[in-house]
Amino acid sequence: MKFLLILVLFSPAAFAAKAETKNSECVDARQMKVEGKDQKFCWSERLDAWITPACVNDKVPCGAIQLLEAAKKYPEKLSSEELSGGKNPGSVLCAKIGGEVMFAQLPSGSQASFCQGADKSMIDCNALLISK
Amino acid sequence: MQSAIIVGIGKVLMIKRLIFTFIILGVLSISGMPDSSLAAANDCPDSDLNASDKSPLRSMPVYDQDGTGTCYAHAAAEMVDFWRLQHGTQSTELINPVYAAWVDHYENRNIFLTEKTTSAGHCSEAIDSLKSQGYCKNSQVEACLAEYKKKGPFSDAELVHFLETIYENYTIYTKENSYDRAVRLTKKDPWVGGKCDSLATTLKTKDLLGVSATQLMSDLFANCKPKQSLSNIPNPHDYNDWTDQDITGRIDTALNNKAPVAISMCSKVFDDPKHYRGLIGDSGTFSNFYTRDSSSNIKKDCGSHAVLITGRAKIDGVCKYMIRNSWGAFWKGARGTQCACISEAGQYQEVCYSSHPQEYVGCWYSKQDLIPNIYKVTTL
Repeated sequence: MKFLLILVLFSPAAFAAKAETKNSECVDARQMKVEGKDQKFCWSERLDAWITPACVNDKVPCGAIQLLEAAKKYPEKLSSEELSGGKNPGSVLCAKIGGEVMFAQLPSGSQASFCQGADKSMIDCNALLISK
Repeated sequence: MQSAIIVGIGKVLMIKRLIFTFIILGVLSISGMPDSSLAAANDCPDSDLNASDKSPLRSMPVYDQDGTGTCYAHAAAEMVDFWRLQHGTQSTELINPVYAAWVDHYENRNIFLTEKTTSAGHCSEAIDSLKSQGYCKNSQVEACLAEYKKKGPFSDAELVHFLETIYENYTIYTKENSYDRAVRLTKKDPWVGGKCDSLATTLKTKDLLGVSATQLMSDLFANCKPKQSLSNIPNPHDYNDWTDQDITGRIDTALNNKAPVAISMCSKVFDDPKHYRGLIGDSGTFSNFYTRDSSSNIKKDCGSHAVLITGRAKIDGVCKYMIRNSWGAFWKGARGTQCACISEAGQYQEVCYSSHPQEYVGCWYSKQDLIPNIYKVTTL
């Protein structure tokens, strides 16, 4: 009976702790080449983004997270002139909020643009777009 | 006499009965024909060019054109590469889309000294340029760009954007020194900033800026020899049919022939597929004055873009086309958009169920949402 009581009382906490751990964990790590150099990125379920591993949990200040916040708050819509020729809106937005666009190559040869903050941490440009 | 009349009436009745029977049989046969059910099944036959392991698309990377306006060149390079791989080209050297943009720029130089910008163009013209000029192997193009990148701490994207922007800003029709003006305006670009001073100085030293884009390209791709011929590629065809039905027919014909199709479209539909309609004209209305791709038929906030359609399928009861974009391997449209992907395990999923696959290869948009936002179709 006591055992059952403990189980009932503590299991929700255990689940919550596990969820929080998962949210702050690097659920998947990938190696990509950025400007010719290998860089590791983590998938963050919470942010719905590929991000520099140090930024996965937001307990320390992180340039990439700051860029994501800036993208969410960016008030203006990108104009058709800014996007002429089909420019990647995530890349254009990265430049507008003060980030630096970096090109990554996946092991398959496919490409992805990342937005780099002042501290050299990076987040994928598509995440900036979805955040809006 | 009476019997003759009775026989006559009987014959008439029998004939009427026979006619009635034939009518009933006819109605039954028509309703029995699987027209509605088959038509419903046949109006969106599956054609996913990504599905097979041997598909050319599986050998082609998903590109990211980044902040450059070279969507047309990306679409052109992919159309040509698909055709080459499908027709047994042994080489796995794909066409570099950046090179395709510069070849188109070179090919279509404006004779009045204002160089055509690589920002925005036409897929069919880029294909024509590649056919006439040939292409460099991707490894050679990368080596050529690397040579320029040694001159400063910038990325591929910044280099291409700088070259593009400085030529856009260059003009001889100014009282100010043309070169100084071009550099000053380029520095204002938030994407380039002052990072490319060293490259600007290099261009000036080589006396390339202000001469012609052709000379710049010659220098940029000086080590690109010999050029690979593309003269056997079919000629591209542009279609700007007025009605939605005709445009749909062009797309469906290509997919039925196992070929992708390039479309010029309004990218704003990606933000709001259910509601955004970028073309002004009434579909189905014949017009003597406009074509579908006339600027007066396209809304100003359209966000003109060129992409490929690489699949058709009925998903959740809705007929959809797959868009292969050039916004990188992590582009998945607005929230809730269904996309195809290569899963973490390396398997193709027509509708991706993973939150973080290896890469997305295209996203599905319903026919009814997409077609009213397409103003031109290009096929090979």
